[in-house]
Amino acid sequence: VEYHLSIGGTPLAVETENGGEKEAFVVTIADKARSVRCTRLSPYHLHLDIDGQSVNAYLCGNAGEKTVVINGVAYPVVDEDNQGRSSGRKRGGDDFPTEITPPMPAVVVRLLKTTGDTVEKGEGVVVVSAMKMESTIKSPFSGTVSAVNTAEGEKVMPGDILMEVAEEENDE
Amino acid sequence: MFTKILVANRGEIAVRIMATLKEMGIASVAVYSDADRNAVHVTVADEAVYLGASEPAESYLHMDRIIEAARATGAQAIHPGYGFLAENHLFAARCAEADIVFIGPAPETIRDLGDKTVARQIMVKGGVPVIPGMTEPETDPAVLAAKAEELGYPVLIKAAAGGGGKGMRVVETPADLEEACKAAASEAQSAFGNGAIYLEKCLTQPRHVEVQVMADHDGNTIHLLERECSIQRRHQKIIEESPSPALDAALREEMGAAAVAAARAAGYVNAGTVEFLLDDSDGSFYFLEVNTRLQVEHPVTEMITGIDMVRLQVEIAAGNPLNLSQEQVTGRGHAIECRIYAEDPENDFFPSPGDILYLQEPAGPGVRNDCGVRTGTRVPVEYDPILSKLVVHAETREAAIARMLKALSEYVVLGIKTPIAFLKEVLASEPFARGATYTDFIPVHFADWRDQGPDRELAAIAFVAGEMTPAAATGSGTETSSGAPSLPTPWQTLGNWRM
Repeated sequence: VEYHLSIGGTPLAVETENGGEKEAFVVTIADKARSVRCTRLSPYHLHLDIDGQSVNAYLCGNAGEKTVVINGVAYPVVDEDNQGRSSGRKRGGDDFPTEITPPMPAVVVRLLKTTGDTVEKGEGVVVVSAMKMESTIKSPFSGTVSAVNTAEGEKVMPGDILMEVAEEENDE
Repeated sequence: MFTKILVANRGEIAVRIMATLKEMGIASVAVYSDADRNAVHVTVADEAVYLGASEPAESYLHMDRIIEAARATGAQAIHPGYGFLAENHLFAARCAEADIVFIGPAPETIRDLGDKTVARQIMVKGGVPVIPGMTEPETDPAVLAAKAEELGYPVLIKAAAGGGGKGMRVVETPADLEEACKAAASEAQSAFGNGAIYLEKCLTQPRHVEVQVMADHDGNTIHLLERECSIQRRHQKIIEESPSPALDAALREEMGAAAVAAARAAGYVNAGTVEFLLDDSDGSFYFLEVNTRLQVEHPVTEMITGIDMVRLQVEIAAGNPLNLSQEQVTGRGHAIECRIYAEDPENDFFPSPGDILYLQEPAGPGVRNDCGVRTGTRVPVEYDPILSKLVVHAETREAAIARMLKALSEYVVLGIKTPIAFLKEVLASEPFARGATYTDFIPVHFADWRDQGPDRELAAIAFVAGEMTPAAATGSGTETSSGAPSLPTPWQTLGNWRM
């Protein structure tokens, strides 16, 4: 079976072959083949034997998108061929989000810009508060504020577009 | 001695306090909000009282309901933990009126030291060195701007009622001052109900070193050595250790004496922390503030001194004398604490609430995890996102770092984001190893940190292995008895099958 994975935005092609036994298989990444034996210890915990090396991996998520934790490090793994279930949510981009939306449920504390204002890429536009902490949401690009869809004191959720910015032409 | 104590807090600190109460044979009363109905602190307490809605004002900050809960359950004392009402002098006074012992200093002491400008004045009188800055809070932007010019940029905005980095801002240029003051005042208002702010000179490369003090009602005041807390993000500590790599015996004694002098100047009783900024180029140090409560990072002190600080707090609150002299307090080995928050280190440490699908706590020799969550806990939006404090103790600093790295590697929290991978990189870094821990450590060495993940290929293998060894059929979720005839494939029935 061939998988086209993406780990933290970096693509990685993985090929698997049955290793002849029920829980053993061969995994090939970048022409390097490794024999793997896997024991599922709980719904979230796999014990792997990879070419004789013992690895504990902890997984959660769905078929298209999982978080894999190994040695305290969490890897976001996306199966590019199995994106049906993940409903097109943005992924992998390390850059600014493209929408002015809170990263978590929050309360709008202050609006720093209003309709018609020009904003620079990375300039703060809305201050939100969550878990007793204030955080400034920044504009994803330079342009002009075309709409403000929220008000101070309002409870907002990720996905709510708080402010719309008409992108400036000739921007990078 | 008390027979029942109400713990007016939640999360890991409530759980930690209750552990000592249990050891002392004192019954514990938990209080909780809607969001915390099934929280760990509720289930480990001997009894629990519902306070109200999840908003802190309706629950953990609601003085009437908490005092009523203590009355109704017959608790003779209230331990406030840290945060919430811990440094609220009105609450301490209300407890006294209701004839309930507040485990902490007297209301007047909390009031005076809690107002950072008054605290500065007390310290100046007591001969304790203070940082150049304003001695009165100010709201007028023009006055603030003039003061900032006088002190010289960068300046630090601080909340008069502050603590925990709330309402604090560094301002590099005059253009940013006004908006930063507004943000700080509004944050201070919502966090402490008091929006007063003032300005201080911002030292260029200080260390944050604090001294634990303990004082009884008879005037016995001692210190329990120092903690180095320079590794901070958003002005909030994330890694603390003791002893400080910057102190030698002479400076330790000098700072300890200054802390005891500070406590005496304020007429302090019970556990408190005197925070200093240390300029290690010349060993000069400045009073920062006194935290009139148990500190988040108290476990590192407990680990190296072998003293249970909550037990001492309870003993002192009960009127017992300190059965400990300064000479009896010695540190052994080295302790480090990492705060494990529900937060995203790749997104400016923004909180990451949600459901913990799976939790595996680290363990082993010299490892302590003060934890307020479990598998299945929903980390609420309403409160400080701390999950646990991972603390290690070892013979040397080097051994403690290795022990912490091992413990962090074992720590698994699925479902929400945590800084575990980030903390590992900080602990493993060269500047941390050589003890170059200054308060600008994270912006200098770890700005815009991205998790590079050393084992991407292993993660890919684990992903495909997970696809090939599916979990039990949906719905049941957990443990299925092996050999159950209804299971769809042999993959699940084989269990721990091996050669």
